[in-house]
Amino acid sequence: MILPDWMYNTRTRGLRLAKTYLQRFANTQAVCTSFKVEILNGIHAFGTTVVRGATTKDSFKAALFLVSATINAATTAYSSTGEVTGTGYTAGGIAVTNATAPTSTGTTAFWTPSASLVYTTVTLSTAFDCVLIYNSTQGDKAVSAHTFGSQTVTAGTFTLTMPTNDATNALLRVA
Amino acid sequence: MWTTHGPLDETSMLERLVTVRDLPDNYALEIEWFLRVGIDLSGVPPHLQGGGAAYPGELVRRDAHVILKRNPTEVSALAGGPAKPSPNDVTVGLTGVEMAGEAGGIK
Repeated sequence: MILPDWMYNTRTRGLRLAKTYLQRFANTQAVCTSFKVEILNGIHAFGTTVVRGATTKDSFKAALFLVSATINAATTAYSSTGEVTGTGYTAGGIAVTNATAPTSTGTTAFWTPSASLVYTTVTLSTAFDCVLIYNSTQGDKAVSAHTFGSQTVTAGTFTLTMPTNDATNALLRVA
Repeated sequence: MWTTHGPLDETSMLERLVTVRDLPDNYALEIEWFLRVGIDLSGVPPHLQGGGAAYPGELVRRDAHVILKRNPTEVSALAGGPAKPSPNDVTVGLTGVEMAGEAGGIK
């Protein structure tokens, strides 16, 4: 049957409205993006947590590890085992500059230190290839391990530059 | 034409009197002017009065541009300027890591 134009147009509009109606009220399973940011900010605790004395952010440090070390996802806390040693380097590494709070783009929460990690004038003669970011406020608990090409440094400054702080490249991402 | 600021030791002179203008190579500095204090200013060697190359301890005209032969990192640090990268410096870019849900879970 061929419908007159006015009837055809009315039917088409009706279908479009129905589709819009369904989309508006559809539910979608997801981890809430705000929650991802709040994980990074220490808001939620599904298990036993710690008593926090203040609302201030924690302090984080960055320690370098030898190629021969075993730092990985199973690392729970900083330990000097396998850490580099040498002139100008202090066990435990250096403080991480953290002036930029975690944020999100799309459905990914992310955080990146706000400055490069700079180990000034060090001599590290044994090859190293990993930096461990850890929370020096919370018992040196491990945060993340990042590997790079094997390095040695002789009386020089070793600098680890940061990736772009976005949902794709940030140093720490919750996707 | 000549000015004294002494008595000062060399470190103080670098801090107070030298302006680092450039680091043209690893072991030379072009500085705005450099003065050695505590000597008779009337005895300035004529070849230095027009500026040019000068070395620690040498006296040159205040308005001369001179080259100071010295470890550039040390001098720039003493002069309060940024240290020039040493050939021994190493810079590496870090890459980030992602915490994601397990396969089949909610991400």
